[in-house]
Amino acid sequence: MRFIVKLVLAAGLAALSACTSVQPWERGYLAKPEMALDSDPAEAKLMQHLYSSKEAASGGYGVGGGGCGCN
Amino acid sequence: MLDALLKAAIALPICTLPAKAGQLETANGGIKYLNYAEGDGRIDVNSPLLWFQGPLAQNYDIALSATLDSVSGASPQYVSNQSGKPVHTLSGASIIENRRAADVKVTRYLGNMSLGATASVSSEHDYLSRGAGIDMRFDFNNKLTTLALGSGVTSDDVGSSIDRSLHEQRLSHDFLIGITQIINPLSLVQSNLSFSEGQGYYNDPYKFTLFFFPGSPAPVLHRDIRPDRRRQTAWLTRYRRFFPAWESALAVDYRYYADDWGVRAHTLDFSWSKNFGHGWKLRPGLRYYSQRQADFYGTVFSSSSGVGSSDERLGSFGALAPSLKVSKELSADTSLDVAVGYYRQEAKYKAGGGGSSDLAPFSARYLMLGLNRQF
Amino acid sequence: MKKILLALLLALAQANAFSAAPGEGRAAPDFTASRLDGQPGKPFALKDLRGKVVYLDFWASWCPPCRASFPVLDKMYSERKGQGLEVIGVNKDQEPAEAAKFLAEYPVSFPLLADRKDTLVTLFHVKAMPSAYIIDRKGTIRFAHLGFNRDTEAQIEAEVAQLLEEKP
Repeated sequence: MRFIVKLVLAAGLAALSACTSVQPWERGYLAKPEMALDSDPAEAKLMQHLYSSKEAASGGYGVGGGGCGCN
Repeated sequence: MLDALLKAAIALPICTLPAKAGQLETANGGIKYLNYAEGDGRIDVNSPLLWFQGPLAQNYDIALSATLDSVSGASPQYVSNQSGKPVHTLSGASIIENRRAADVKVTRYLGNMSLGATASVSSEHDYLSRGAGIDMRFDFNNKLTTLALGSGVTSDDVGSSIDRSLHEQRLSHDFLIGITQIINPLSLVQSNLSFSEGQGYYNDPYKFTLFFFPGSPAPVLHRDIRPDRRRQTAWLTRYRRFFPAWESALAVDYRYYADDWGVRAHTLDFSWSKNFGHGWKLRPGLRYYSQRQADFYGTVFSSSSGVGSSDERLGSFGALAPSLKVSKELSADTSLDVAVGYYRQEAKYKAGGGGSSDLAPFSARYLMLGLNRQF
Repeated sequence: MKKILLALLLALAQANAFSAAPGEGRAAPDFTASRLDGQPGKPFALKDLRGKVVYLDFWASWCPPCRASFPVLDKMYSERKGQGLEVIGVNKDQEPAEAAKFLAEYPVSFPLLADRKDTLVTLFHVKAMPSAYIIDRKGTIRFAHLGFNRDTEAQIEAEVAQLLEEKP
């Protein structure tokens, strides 16, 4: 686990130095709502709840979320 | 050092990151209504969800949501292999169950950094879950890179309406580390790694497996028994790319999941969001999911008291879910959306084959309506 | 693990160095620019405004603080125009149609310029959106602002008032 954390950090720091610069005024497309990682959080919440009641996998989106009985 | 850092970080909302990275300028709220129905009419779920987010004070945001799920139908309780092939037996009486859930998140912005605290609760007549979490985000590299760290704890109380004496608990801790990187003016990527470690009661008190040992005339009833510990790892990578010529955005999410029950899963989610002008937006999507079964999944067990579960959710299968969403901006501050989706789970959809032959195909459809408003 | 965290904090501290306001105390570079589509007037030249206090604002429709700033800037402009204040908005939208849509929603009376080739942002070392430069009557950049919120609003008012007091 510790190894994986280090790997992610290393990859992140590498990305920092290697990537081409995007100027502050060039971020109009990135600011569009459909480019957001969670463009519709309410929808995402309901869908994740549905999927986790039918599938074994969960996680990756955040921390401290409420679980459910889902029986 | 940290003090100097905080002092240097003057609180200014500078918008150099995708939406929602900085403090909210306006308050938003809305309602989502979900109707979900399983193909054979077994389960019908209606969930309205109310949400709100907005500035609480200078440099503070708040986000709230509340849901009420009302589930009608019956869950299968017995799996039997008497006929040679396992069949599910419904519990008989139709049930109506409610789940109430709410969560709140407060975020504090400190220049290039933000701190968030989350609390959530979810309650059913036989289940109570409480969660709390904190997360930190750091923007650096001229706000091209964001590092997120999070930690949470969830405490669950499990009861049962068929066994009133059941009062069990489960406690889990989760951790998340993630990096968001703006690649160029048209694309960005995020990669999150999360770990969860839980201890306690994982059994499904409503599930039983009725099975016949080969050659044995008397059936054996097996309760659902799972390990009392679960360690889960999820690695989620999300990519977004905008295509100006088509006024469209591509979203690709991939998640790899593994736990110490032996489950391995892949989730791949694509969507294409196209602006048609006059406030119309169309978003077709396709989600594919595949999982390998838990080590103790089965429909025949070697003893009646060992670890074993016939829960379909722990079997080997794949699932396909196409969806379509239409949204329309009614005015500068109000929008409506409608989404429809279909979900089909089949053993043969499992990536690489080897799906559980005893799993019956399963399908569901959903309809979601949303109203969003800016205040 | 501790070492990694320390390295990370150092990286963050460095990243903070970026946010220092650029250009304060320097002479504002002279420039000419064309008007934003649909805006009246001949090509713009900064030197034509010598003797006035100039509030030069870099903005885009997609930037929420810019949205908050426009009504404030427009009010300040109409109130202090007679005292010798000029507000100039440089648009940085990638799609001109979006700027037009934004202006229909937040109409302003001050002049607006286009900067298709990034000449002005390069000249002024723009580090964030919005960025504002307050130039005194002698043509010196006296104040620079990154971002916009309620605190900056009061600060800007005071700075503009101060510069208007100064005689050329």
